[in-house]
Amino acid sequence: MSDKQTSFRPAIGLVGAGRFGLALSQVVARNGHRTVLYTSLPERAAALSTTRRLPDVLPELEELDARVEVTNDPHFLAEHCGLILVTVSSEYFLPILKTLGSVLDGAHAVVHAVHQVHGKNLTRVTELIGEHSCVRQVGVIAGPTHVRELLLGLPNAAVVGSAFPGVIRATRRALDGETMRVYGNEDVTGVELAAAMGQVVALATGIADGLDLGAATHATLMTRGFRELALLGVQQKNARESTFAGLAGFGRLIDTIRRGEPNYQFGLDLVKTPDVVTMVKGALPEVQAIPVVNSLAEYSAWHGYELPIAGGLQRVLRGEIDLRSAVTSWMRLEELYE
Amino acid sequence: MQRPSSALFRFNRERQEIIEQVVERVTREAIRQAWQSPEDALEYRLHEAAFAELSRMDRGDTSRFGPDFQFWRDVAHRVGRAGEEENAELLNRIVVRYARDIAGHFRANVFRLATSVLPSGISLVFGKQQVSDLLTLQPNLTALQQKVQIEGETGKLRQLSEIGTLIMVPTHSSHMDSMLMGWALNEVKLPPVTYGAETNLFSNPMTSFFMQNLGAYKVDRTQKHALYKTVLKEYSRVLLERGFHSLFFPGGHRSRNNQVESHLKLGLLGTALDAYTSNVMARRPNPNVFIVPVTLNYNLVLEAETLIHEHLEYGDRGRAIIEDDEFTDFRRIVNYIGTVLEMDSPLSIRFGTPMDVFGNQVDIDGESIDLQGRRVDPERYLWIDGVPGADRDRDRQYTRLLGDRITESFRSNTVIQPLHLVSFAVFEHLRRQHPGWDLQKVLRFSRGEKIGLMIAEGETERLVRLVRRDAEEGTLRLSRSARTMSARQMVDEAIRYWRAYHTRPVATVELSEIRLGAVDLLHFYANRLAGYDLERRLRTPGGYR
Repeated sequence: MSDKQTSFRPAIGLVGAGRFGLALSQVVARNGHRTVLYTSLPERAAALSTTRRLPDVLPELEELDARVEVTNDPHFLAEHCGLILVTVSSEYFLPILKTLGSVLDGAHAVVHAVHQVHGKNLTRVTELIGEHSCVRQVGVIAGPTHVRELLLGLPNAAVVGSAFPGVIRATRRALDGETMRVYGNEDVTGVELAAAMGQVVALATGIADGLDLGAATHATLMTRGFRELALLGVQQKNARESTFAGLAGFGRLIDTIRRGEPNYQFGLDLVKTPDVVTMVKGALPEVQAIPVVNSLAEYSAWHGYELPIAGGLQRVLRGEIDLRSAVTSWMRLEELYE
Repeated sequence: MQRPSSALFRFNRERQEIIEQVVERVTREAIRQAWQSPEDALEYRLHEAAFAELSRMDRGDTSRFGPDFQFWRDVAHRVGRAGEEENAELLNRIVVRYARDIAGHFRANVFRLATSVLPSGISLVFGKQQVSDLLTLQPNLTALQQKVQIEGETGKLRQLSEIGTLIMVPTHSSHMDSMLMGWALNEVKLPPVTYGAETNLFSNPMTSFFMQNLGAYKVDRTQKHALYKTVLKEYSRVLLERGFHSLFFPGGHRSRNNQVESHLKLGLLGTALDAYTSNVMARRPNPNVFIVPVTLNYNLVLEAETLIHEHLEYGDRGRAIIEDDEFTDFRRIVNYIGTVLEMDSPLSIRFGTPMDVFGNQVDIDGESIDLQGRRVDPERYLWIDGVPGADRDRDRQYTRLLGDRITESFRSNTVIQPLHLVSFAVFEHLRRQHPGWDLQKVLRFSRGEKIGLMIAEGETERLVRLVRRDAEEGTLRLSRSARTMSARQMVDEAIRYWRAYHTRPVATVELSEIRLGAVDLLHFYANRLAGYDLERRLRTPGGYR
């Protein structure tokens, strides 16, 4: 899709009226684009249309930009938007994808921010989009972006991964401005895997920090943990190593840890609880690392590919081993060559 | 049954027009690009072509004193000092030359001859024949039909051939493939196709007559420079636009290691989308181009020895074109035929579900259907600003995705024969015997090793249980005999085939043991089962999951 196509369906679509979806709508609208925000929840759509606010979800949002049209009708979204950015959290993703699949056509481009991998083959979200819709022009957006800073208009950066240069161009056109700088990357697989799997490293590092194991362990775990997952991506999935060192990978990881975002915070909190299993069950949906750990462990068992950190984490989350011995075992892995 | 009409019958009438159209488009586009960017100046293109041609001749492909050499030396000489206009004229001359060289001929009388005589020839190869049948030239076609299994929705393909242009994309194992495809299409009443054949098939005495007269066009794979490739692709695109059903081998060459193709050459394949785009933009009545993946499943492969040798010796850097293989050796072919005559099921041909140029499946009316069974309007993929258009970057990605869908189809439509199962079971056993050895070492040092017949049977049994479950789940496909035979019968059959045709027997039997001979060939036949995650599952003790 070229820049021209967006003038055929000129609006930019946002799917999901969560924190990130609302913040991105603001960014897109402020860049001067007609913006359509779709939510599958009728009460949210109604509240947003009338009050232009959603204090339960994003209290920092004072008023939704006038250029944002809110809708509960997927047909309206499909009819007016050429580029569609999907920001729903992973638990709502499949049902919403099924809805989208019945209204989208080959002229649409879909870029998602759902950082998840599924099942024993680590199926990526762009692969799911190809399976559940006829859309071919797909991409992923990830990076150290932060909702509050987006709203304040502070500088943020993200990377768009897509094999289609036109999708990268269109996404940049929608988002690039004073608040946001958007980089492109052809390595879709790498961006998707780095963004999803990086959350696991944040969780592991959170545990180590909660145990007060010191700065050296913190740095080692971040580096080696990321290395383990990057190798998986490069060797098994044809991703590019440089992608893992980029914004979707290390950039986002540093950000997550520094701000104490949910995946990292969950690791810190885990140390304090006497009952890990109950806490895991009650975890917020934002703690996306948990389903990713399960997918990685499943992948590891099925393909006989060793992932000590992900495997150890799964046993921790199931309450099979205690936190301290898990971290100690990671620090004593046999492989001594970088 | 009424045979659908084929555009090929009007090929010779249109031939000159086709060449002119190719020349016109290629030169116009080259001149447009030269205007647009100084990096694409004609001078560079001409120079690249002349340099490539002259260095090819230097390597001895063509006589240094022939007219070709004179022509190219003249081009190289003039290109540096020529002006715009003269460069354009040189370009035109070169493109005309290439287009004429590529364009084939189709003669209906040869086609009729071929379709009446060739079947008996091919049934000689693949069917049981009575001498009396041969004498009366009445080939025993029922026996042939029983021996070669042709599977798939051929009725649907016949219908689609009337409302769009078909492109057959078969797996590629042997130089026999193109003739086999020609025979199979005729057999299931599908129209004949045109296809690009390597130049050496035009010089091979056994094939040249048919190549020159049955609509094949000439592909010189020693030509690597951009201008030649552009002309070739444009030729293919013009044929497709004009409704000539075609055939591409998307793997590019015969599978060297007998693995089902998983990486495709996208250049020629991309002309499918190009043709569809032009058709839609020009609002032609039947714009659709349908892609039909086909698997050709041989038991024994004629050129196995050369191919696997090439693969192991040179890997991916192997020669693209092999001119001195079994296909040029008449005795080897006779030998092959002799062996194959004895086989119960020497091969099967399976037509996969047809797709549009974006990889969506199509139904019998040519409508595109997505993976959820919903109707898709393929024109929408082309939309730029609400109207269909071409976009090179975008279209290349579409074709790459189409390639992924084709390789998926190849994998799920490959028909596994008992020979493959036994070879795989024995080879995997061998690998487990030497856990510290890499593949090269296994191939080099395990010749002469012995494996008990009971063990081979047990291993085959274990594998058969696994693949039959996969077959039930639809992730893999078994031939009739692979579905019904016992492990013992399979091992017996494999042993017969292993020593039947190849100059170096794969294995022989000594008392109750199998003695390994050509381990590389064992590996070759085992490779047909690569990519189904069987290695890992066989290695997990007792576990089939």
